[in-house]
Amino acid sequence: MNRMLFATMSAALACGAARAAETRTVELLDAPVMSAWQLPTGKWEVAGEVAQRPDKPGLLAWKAGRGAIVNGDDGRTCNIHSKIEHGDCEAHIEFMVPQGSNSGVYFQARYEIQVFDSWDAAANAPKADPKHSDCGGIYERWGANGGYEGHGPRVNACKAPGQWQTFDVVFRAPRFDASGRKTANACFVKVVHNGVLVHENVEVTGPTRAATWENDEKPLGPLMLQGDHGPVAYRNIRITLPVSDIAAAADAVLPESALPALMKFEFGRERKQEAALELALRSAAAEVVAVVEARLLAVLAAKDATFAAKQWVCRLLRAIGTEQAVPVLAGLLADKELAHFARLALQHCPSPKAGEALRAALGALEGDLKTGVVSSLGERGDAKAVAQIAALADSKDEMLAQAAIRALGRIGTAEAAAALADAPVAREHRALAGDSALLCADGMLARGDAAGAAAIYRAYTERRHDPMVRLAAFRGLVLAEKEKAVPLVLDLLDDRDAKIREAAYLFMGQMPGVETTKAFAAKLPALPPASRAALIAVLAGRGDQAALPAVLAALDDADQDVRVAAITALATLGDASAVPPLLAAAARGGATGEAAARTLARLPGDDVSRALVRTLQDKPDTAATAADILVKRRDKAAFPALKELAKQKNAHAARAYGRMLDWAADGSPETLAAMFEEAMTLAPDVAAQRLVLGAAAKRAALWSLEFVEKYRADAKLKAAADAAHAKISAALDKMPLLENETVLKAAEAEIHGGGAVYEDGANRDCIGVWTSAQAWVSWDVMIKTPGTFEVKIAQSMAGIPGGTYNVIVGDQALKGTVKDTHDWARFEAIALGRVTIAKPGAYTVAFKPIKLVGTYLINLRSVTLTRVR
Amino acid sequence: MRQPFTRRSFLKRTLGAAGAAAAAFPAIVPSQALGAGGAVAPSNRIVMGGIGVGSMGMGDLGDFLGRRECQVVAVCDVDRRHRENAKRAVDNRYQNDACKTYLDFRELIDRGDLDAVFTALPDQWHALPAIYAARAGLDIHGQKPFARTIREGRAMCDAVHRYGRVWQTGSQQRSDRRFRRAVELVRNGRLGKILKVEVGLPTGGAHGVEPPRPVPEYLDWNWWLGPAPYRPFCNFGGNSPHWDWRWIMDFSGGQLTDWAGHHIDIAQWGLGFERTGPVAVEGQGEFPADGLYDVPMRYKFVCTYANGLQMTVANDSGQGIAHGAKWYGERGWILVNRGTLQAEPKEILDEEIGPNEIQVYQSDDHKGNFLECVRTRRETVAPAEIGHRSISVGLLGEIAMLTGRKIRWNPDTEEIIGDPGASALLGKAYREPWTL
Repeated sequence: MNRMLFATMSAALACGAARAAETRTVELLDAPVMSAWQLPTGKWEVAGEVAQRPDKPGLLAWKAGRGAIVNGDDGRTCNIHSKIEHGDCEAHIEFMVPQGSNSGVYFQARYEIQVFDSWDAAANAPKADPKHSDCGGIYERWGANGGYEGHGPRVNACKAPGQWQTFDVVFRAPRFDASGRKTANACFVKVVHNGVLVHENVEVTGPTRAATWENDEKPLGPLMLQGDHGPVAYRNIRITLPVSDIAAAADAVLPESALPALMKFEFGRERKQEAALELALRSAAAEVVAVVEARLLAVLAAKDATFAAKQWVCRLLRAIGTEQAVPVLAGLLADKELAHFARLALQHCPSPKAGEALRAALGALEGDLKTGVVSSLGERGDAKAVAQIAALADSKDEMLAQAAIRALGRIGTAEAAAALADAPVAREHRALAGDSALLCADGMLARGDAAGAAAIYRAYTERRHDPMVRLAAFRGLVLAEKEKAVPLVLDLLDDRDAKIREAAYLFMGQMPGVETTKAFAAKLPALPPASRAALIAVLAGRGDQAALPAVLAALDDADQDVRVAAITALATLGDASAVPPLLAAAARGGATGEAAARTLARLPGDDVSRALVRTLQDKPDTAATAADILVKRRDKAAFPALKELAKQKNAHAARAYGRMLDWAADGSPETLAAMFEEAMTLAPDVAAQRLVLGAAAKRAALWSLEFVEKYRADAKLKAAADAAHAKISAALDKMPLLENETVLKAAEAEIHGGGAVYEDGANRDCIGVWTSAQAWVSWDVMIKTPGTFEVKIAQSMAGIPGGTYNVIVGDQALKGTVKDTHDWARFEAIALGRVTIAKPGAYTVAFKPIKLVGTYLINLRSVTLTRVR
Repeated sequence: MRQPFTRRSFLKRTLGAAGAAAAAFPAIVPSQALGAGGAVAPSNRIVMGGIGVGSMGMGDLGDFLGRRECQVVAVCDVDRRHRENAKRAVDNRYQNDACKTYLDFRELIDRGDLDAVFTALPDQWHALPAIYAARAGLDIHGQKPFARTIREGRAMCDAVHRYGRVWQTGSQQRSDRRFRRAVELVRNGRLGKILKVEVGLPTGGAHGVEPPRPVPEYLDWNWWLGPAPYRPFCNFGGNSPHWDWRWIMDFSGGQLTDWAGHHIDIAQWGLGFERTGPVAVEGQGEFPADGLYDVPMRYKFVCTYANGLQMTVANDSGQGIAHGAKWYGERGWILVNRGTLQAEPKEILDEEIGPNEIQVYQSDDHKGNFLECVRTRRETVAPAEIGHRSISVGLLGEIAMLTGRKIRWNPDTEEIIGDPGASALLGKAYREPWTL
C-alpha cells in the first residue's frame, strides 16, 4: 500500500468535513485462525500460498500456512463478516480470483465494491467499457424494477485472473440525526484499484444488491466478504478507523453507566449485566475486547469494588485477558482472597510477562499463597523457575514441598530432572520426587531424548526406591529401549515384588514386534504353570501369529489352566492349522473342551470353516462336535459345502445343514420350498427330519405351511409337523386376511425409523408428527385369492402440503402427493390407484415418504385395500 | 504419611501361596479360587474403599457390596451424613463394625491395605484422588466425565499408564449389548461408508439466584470445593450443593459434559475414533442470562475429523434425534440410545456379525468387568484413555462455545492450534494448596 497516496486521500474527504481523529489500523488476516471474523465461517479457511489451478483455471489451490484466507474448494460457502464494525474508514484489501470468478467487499456489509474476473483473455488486456459488475465497480442497487445506480470504474485496472490485486478505499459512512433519520448518504471518497483511481466521491443512496441488510443503514457495520459466488482468496486486509468508533463499540459492550453496579456485585445477586457482558465479549473484535479489558482492570484496582466483583473480573480475564492485565493481576498474588483468582487469569496467559510476574511473586510470598504460585509455574511449564522451585523441595511446609516437587515434574525438562536429583527431599516425599523425575523422563522421551530418559528410568529401578516408583521406572525403560528391553522384562517375571511381576505382563503387551513375540514365546517352557498361562494370555493380546507354534504346543500342557489359556488364546491367534487340535479337545469335553468349542466358534477365517467341514468327512470321531460348532459359527459360507456333504450321505453334515436352514436359506418361495424338500431327503434319520420341520416353523409363509402339511400324515413326523404347522398358522393368523376389503389402521402399523409416532385420541388415531422422510410404516397382510385391488389412504394435513410418498404392496408402488385438508383432525380419503396380486401369499403393505415439504409430512390414519370386481 | 509398602498382589493371593518367592500368578482366576457355593475366601477378595458416597457413590457402593469377590472396608466423604450413611450400609452388609470413615481421601488411600477405590465426586475432584490412588498402586473405578479439563484428563491418563493401573470409567453403556450391537454393525460396514454422525444430549436449564447461607455443620465446605474457586456456601437447587453442582461451570459443564461421556463415547466407538479426536470444533451455545447456573442450556457444535467426517453434538431440542448416537451411512442409518436400537432399512438389525469380522470388546457387566480386570490386569471396556478422549470432545465444544471461535485441534499432541486464548482454557489454576 502506498502510504503517501493514502495520507493524501484521507486529507481530502470531499463528501463531508474532514475529521482529524486519532485512528487505529486493524489487521483482519494476520492470525493463524480466523479469529477476527464472526461465526459461522463455513468453508473459509486460513491458507499460505494461493494460486489458480493450472488444470482447472476456474478454481484455486493453496498450501497450508497463514496470511491468506480462501473460501473452500468450490467457492460456494457463506459470506463472512468482520467482528470489528466500522463507520468512516480507510481500507486496504488484497484479493485473487481465478478465471471467471466473482466475489465482493461490502463496506458495513451493505455497500459493495465488486470483485470479478474482468480480464479479456483474447485481447490479453482488461475488458473494455467496464460496468458496475466488473472488478472495482460500485455494484448496483436492486429494487422492484431491477438494478439501478451501479457505477462502473473509470478505468478497468484489473489484472489477469490468478494474480493478487489490491483495493485501497476511503469510505465515509452515512450520517444520521439524533432521531436516527439519515442525513447524508454513504460515500466512496476514493477507490483505488491496483494503484489506479477508479472512483472519487461517489455516493451510494442505500445498500447495494445482496447486502447483508438490504433495508436499513447504520452508523457502524462489519466488513463483509462475499463467499458464495465463486472461489476467491484474500490477504492483507487492514482497516484504519477512528479510535472513537472502537471506544463506541466498547461502550455498547460495557457502558460506563454499568460499572458502578458491576463494582458492587455480590454472590446471590442477579447477574443479568454480567451474563450479558460475557455474551457480548464472545463475539467482539479483539480491539474492542482490549478496551473493555482496560475498564475491567480499573474495577480490579478500585478500592471500593467488592470481592465478588473482583473475582468475577478475574474469571473473565481467564478467557479474554491479554498482557495488559498482567500488572494488576500480579498485584493480587499477595491478596489472600483474590490470589487464586489472579492465578486463574495468569496461569495460562500466553504473555511471558505472566511468567515473570509469577516468578517475581515467588520470593515475596509465604505459605499457601506461595504454594499456589509454585503450582501455577509448574502448570505453565516455566523452565526459568526450576532453580527457585527446587530450593523449596524440602520446605517444612508440607504442601509447599509437595507442590514444588510436583511442579518440577510438570515442567518436565532435563534441567528439572537434574534439579530433582540434587534437591534434598523429606523421606516421606521420596516417592513423590521419584514420580516427578519419571514425569521429566517421560517428557524427555517425548521430545526425542531416549538416552537421557533411559538413564533416569534406569536410576529409579534400583531397589532402594519405592516399589511403585520402580514399577513406573521399568515401564519407562521399556518404552525408551523398546526391543532392547526384552531381557529386562523377562527378568521381571521373577522379581520378588509381586506388583512388578504383575506389571511385567502389562509391559509385554506394550512391546510390539515379531522378534519380541518370539522372544517371549521362547520363554514359555522355563516358567512355572501359572506364569505360562499368564504369558499365553499376553501373547493372545499381542495378536501376533509368530506366537502360534508355542501356543499350539501348549495345548498339550500338563496343567489344565495352561491348556485352557492356550485354547482361549487361539481364538485371536489361531488359523485353520489350529482346527485339528482344537477339535480334538472339543470332542473330549470337560472345561477344556468347552473352551475349545467356544474358540472354534469364534475363530476367524473362511479356511477355518472349510477345515471344519472337511473334518466331517475325514474324522468321523469328531464329526458330531464339528457339526455343532459349524452351526454355532453361523457362517453362511459353510452352508453350500455342508449340503454337498449331505448329498454324499454324510449324516453329520446333513444335520448341521438342517439346523442352519431357518436362517441361511435364501430365495423365492418356490426355491425355499424345494430346498426344504431336498433337506428332508438328505436328512439321515427321523430326528434330523424333525430338525428340518423345526426350521420351517420359523418361516411364516404359505409355502412353509404347505411344506409341513405334507408330513402331518407321517406317523413318525406327525408331532413335529403338527407343532410346526401350529406355529406357522399362528403367525399367519396374526396377519389380517384380505378378502374383499381390509382397512390397515395406524394403531396396528409397524413404524420404522425415528421421526414419526402413533398419536391416539379421537382427533388423531393416526401416524403423525412425521418429521423425517426416513420414517416409514408397514403392515403384513395375507392374500389368499389373487386379484386386483384399489388402494386408498385416509390422511390429514394442515399448512404446507405437497410432500410425496409411495404406497407399496409387494413389489408394486403407487405414488401420491399429500393433500391439504386444512385441519390436522380432518381426514380425507385419497385414491391412489390399483395393484394386481397374482399369487397368494403374505404381503407387506408399506407407506414410505419420498420427499418432505415443510416440518410435518402427513397424518396417516389408514390404508385401505378393496378388491375390484 | 505413607506406610511402608505391604500391599499384597491380588494375583499372588489367588494361589493361596503366601510369600512363595518365585510364585507367579495366573491370568485367569482358577476355578478353585472360588469356594463352595461361590463364596470367595476373604484373603482372595478385592479390598476396596469408596471416595465420594453421595447419591452416585451410594449406587456404586450398593453394587460392589452385592459382589462376593470384593470387600469394602473404608468410605470417604466431606459430608458427615454421607460417611455415616455409607458406613451403616457397609457394616450392615458384612454384619460387623469394621468400615472406617474418612474426610481426607489421602488418609483412605494411605491405609496400605486397599486394592482398589471407586470414586463418585463432583468434576473438580476427579483428577487429584485418581492420580493419588494410581501412585499408591490402587486400581480405580471412576465416574464420567473423565475430568473437568483436558489437561487434568491427560495427567490422569499418564498416571494410570505410568503405574500400570486398571481404570474403569463409569460409562456403563459400553457394557450394554444394545450399544455394542450398534457399534459392531457400524464398524463392520453395514451402513457402508459413514457420511455423518449426530449425537443428542439433554437440554440444560436456568435457575434463580441463591443467597449465601451458613455452612451446615455436617459439611466441610473447604473440602467440598477442593481445587475449585472459592465461593460462599449456598444451596445449588434443592437443599444442598449435592447433585446440582453440575450446572455451575466451576464444578462441571452441565448436561453437555454429564452426557458426553456416554453418547459421544458411543459415537466415537462406532467410528473407531475412540483413542483420537477431531481436528476442528465449531459451534454455539446458549447460556443462562441470569441466576446461579452458568452452564450451556442449548448447544450445538460440529466436530470435523481428519478424514472429513462431521459429527454434530447438540441438545435434544436442537436437532431431530433426541438422545443418543445416530450414524448415517451410504446404506442407511442406525440410532441407539438407552431405550432403543433402530435402523433404516430395518433389515440391518437382522444382520449377523460373522467370525471373520470386527468384534468389539465384550462386557455385559460393567463393574464385574472392572473386578475381573483387577485380577487379570487386562484393560477394561472403558479404560482411561478412552474416557479422556470422549470427554475431550465435549470440552473442546465447550471451549468453542465460550470463545465464539472455530477451534483447530491436534489430537496427537493435544494442542489447540493458533489460538492462545482458547489454549488457556485447556487447563485451570487449582486453588491453593492443591497441585495437579
